[in-house]
Order: sequence, then structure tokens, then C-alpha cells
Amino acid sequence: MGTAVLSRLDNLFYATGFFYRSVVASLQYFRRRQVGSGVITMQLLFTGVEAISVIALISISLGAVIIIQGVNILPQFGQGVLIYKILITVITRELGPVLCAFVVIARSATAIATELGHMVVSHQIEAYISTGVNPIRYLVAPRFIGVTLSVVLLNLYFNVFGLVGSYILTQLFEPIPFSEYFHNLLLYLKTTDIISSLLKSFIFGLIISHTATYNGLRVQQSSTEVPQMVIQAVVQGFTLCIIADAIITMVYYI
Amino acid sequence: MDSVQLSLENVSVYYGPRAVIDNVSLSVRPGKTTVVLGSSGSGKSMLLKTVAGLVPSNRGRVVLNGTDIFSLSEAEELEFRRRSSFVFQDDALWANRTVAQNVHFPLEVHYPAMTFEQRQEKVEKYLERTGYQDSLDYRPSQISAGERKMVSFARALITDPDFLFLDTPLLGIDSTTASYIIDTIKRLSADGKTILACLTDPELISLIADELIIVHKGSVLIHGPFNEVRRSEDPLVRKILSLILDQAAAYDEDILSLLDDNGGLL
Repeated sequence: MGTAVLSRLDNLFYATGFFYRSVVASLQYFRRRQVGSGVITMQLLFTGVEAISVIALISISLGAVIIIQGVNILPQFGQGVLIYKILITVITRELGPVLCAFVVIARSATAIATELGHMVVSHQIEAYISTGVNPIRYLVAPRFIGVTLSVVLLNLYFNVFGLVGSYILTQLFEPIPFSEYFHNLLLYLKTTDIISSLLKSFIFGLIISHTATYNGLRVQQSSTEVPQMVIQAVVQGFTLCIIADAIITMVYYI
Repeated sequence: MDSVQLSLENVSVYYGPRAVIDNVSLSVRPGKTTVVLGSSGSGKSMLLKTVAGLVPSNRGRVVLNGTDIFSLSEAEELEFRRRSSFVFQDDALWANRTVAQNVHFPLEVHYPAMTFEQRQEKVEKYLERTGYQDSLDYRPSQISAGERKMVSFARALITDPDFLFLDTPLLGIDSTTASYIIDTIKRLSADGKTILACLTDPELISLIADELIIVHKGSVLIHGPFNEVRRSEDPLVRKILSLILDQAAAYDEDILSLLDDNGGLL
């Protein structure tokens, strides 16, 4: 049991050190002479742009469900105007960042961990080192920046689609006057909601990029380790995002 | 940095509790060809990677020109990497790059002042000499094992390094490719490059080796000039030499006859 605890502590220290080096490399990324600067563009394209359609579908559907349910149920209790508060709480503050994080974990974290794992097994990482390329700077930093930026941007898209797109969809079933809807929405939307939402997605982005790159590079020798590390990346990503979400929400109400 | 001088000082590398390199000390002579021999799983590849600073040691130091290789400044490390190259046993070509991009990349890292066109021209000329001018846009998975080996050689040699690490370069390739690679290694050795290589071809070993290192279970059994090592009376050394030279029953056979000037291989 003592050995297991020590091993976990050792892993934790290693992961912390890896996170620190990834952050430093990411902060220095734009200041340094970089080979292959296209990596970050590709990461943004894959993680951010290619996920927009999925994000749009989820957010429009979710927003439409909230509006349709709200306009039918809440007026029965004389609380029709609460629909705007619920929309902002659900779309902007809670589900927006969390669902975007889940989509990115499912699409990109798995892809990153798999790619890096296979690169370790086929000695491509060692080939980079032997060429004089630091894998943290060249492979981890662009993914770190790309994924974090993508999660924040996807959250913004989620909000736009969830709050605006769903309104348009709702007009087919429950018409609400345009001016009334947006006037009330902006009335209830506070700066703290936006800050909380962006802060969450930024932190989720750091968590996802860290768990994906760290677990991908933890593969040592065998290709059978790759799926195991991908599972670790997904489980750790989900768990840490939910924990971070709970902490930020609690801090918001303190 | 005048010449690249590498040595190991009491180096051990562990995989879990098992020592894959066990308290090894050695120096690689600049301008000479040192061949590492050992049975399969003896730690030859790991020894090469440890000397090259690709695998960190758990104990001891890897010393480059008097400095611990893991304490080099960024500029010093980049200079060392420019002047050294590693040919991996399984090629280790970057799967997401084309053949041309694989060879192009070291130039991009070490010669940033060169324009893209200059680098491209150099790569194309270099690959043309190997006969692969038609496969430049292929990914490594689309070409044969022999072609991949030649591309990995091209990637290693495009920066004209002084120090070469060759990890079993003739493994699993056809005779035409092997012939090209053998000629290339002979030329590099004759040019006075420092070579540290795992080789299994007795003829090539006898032609180019200045020094031999015999590895057994992660330890260096013997390291010295070629003639000195081949005349070793140590039964384990003789057994390993004969096994590597594919003479399974030659435990008591005079190993000198296999490598001797009069033995037909030289």
C-alpha cells in the first residue's frame, strides 16, 4: 500500500512538473523562433473549427428545449420572465463550458493522446530529440495553446448558437417578439456571468490539453499502452473538469 | 566545440527494478568507428540512446566535452544535435510528414537562414542520389522498409554530421538497400566521421571497426581496439562474437579465423 501511495505521489509530482513546463513553453511560444509554426494552426482547425457543427447542433437544441419548456411551464406560476435567467444560467454559466469541454475531450483529447502515444512507441519523439527539437516546445505547447483557445472560442460559439440560434428555431413553435426576447436577455446577462463562463472554459482547456498530452507521452514501449493512456486522458479530463466546474461555481456564489 | 567527445561515467538506466544499462563507463574515440556487439536484448540500442542523450540515466553522467549532456545550454545542445545524427533501428520517420518533409526538417531546425527553396533543392538533390526522386510526396507508411531505411539515412546525413549513431541499420532490408547502406557507412568511416554503431554484418564490422564494445546483460564485457577484442580469451566474449557472426556451434572455434586477414572476410 505504501508503494502504491508513493507511486501515485511520484506521478502527481511528475504531472505537476510537466504542467509547469507546458505552461512555460506555451508562454514562450510566440517569442521564440519556432519550427513548424503550422502545428498550432492545425490544432485550432481540428479542435476549434471542425467541432463547430457539433457544438452548434447541441447548443441550438438545448436552447430551444429550454425556451419551449420555459414558455409553457413558467407562466403557469406567474414566473414567465425567469426563462431568461434560466437560459443564461444553463447556457452561459453551466452547460456551455462543460459541454464544450466534453466535446473537445471526446474529439481532440483522444486524438492527441493517441497520436503522441504512437509517436512514442515508434520512436518519433526520440527522432525529434536527436534532431534538436524539444518535444515539449514543439509538440506539447502548440496543442496546449490550440486546445485551450479552442475551448474558449467554442464556448463563445455555444453561447451565440444557444441564445440566438435557439431563438430562431423556437419561432417555428412558440413565437416570441424579437425585441422582448433580446431586451430581457441582455437585462439578465451580467458581466460576471460572462467572466465565469470564460474562466471555466479557459481552465477546462488547460485541464484537457494537459491530460491529453501528459497521458499520450506517458506511453513507454508498447502500442497496447496507447488505448490505456487514452482512457486515462478521457477519465482524468472529465473528472477534473467537473471538479473545477464545481469549485468555480461555489466561488461564484460566495 | 572542436570535436564531439562523448563518454559515460558509471551510467545505469533502469526499467522498473531492472537495470538495462548497468554501471557502464566508456569513452567514444573521436574520428573512429566503434561497433557495439551483443546478443539480442543485451542493451545495445539502449547503450546507443544513452550515449546520444536520448534516454536519461538514473545514475552516473553522460559527458559531452567535459559537461553533463543534460546540463548543456540550449545553444550547446542544439550545436551537438546539429553535429550528430541518429539512425534508428525502426527508422522512426515522422509519420505525418512526407518523405521530402522528413529529410527537410533537420535543415529547417539547424539552418533557419536557408530559404525554403534552398532547403528543398538540397533535399531533392540528396534524395535523387539515392534514387527516390519519385517518392518525395509519399508518407513513410506508403514506401517499403528498405526505402524507409534509406530515407532515415538521408534524414540523418542531410546536415553533414560529425558523429553518427547507427542502430542496426541493416536489419530487415533487401540486399540492394543493404548494399547502398554498407557503401554509405564505409564512406562515412573512411571520411573520419565518429561512428558508434550496432552492427551484425561480420564483413562490414571487420572492414570499418576501429574499436569493439561487447555488451552482455546491460554491462560492457570488453571495450578496446578491434584486434585486441577479437583476440580476447574470455569465453563469454568469444561466445558472443561467434553467435553474432552466426556461428552457433563455434563456441570453441577460433574466432580469429572468421575475422582474420587470412580468414576470407578481410
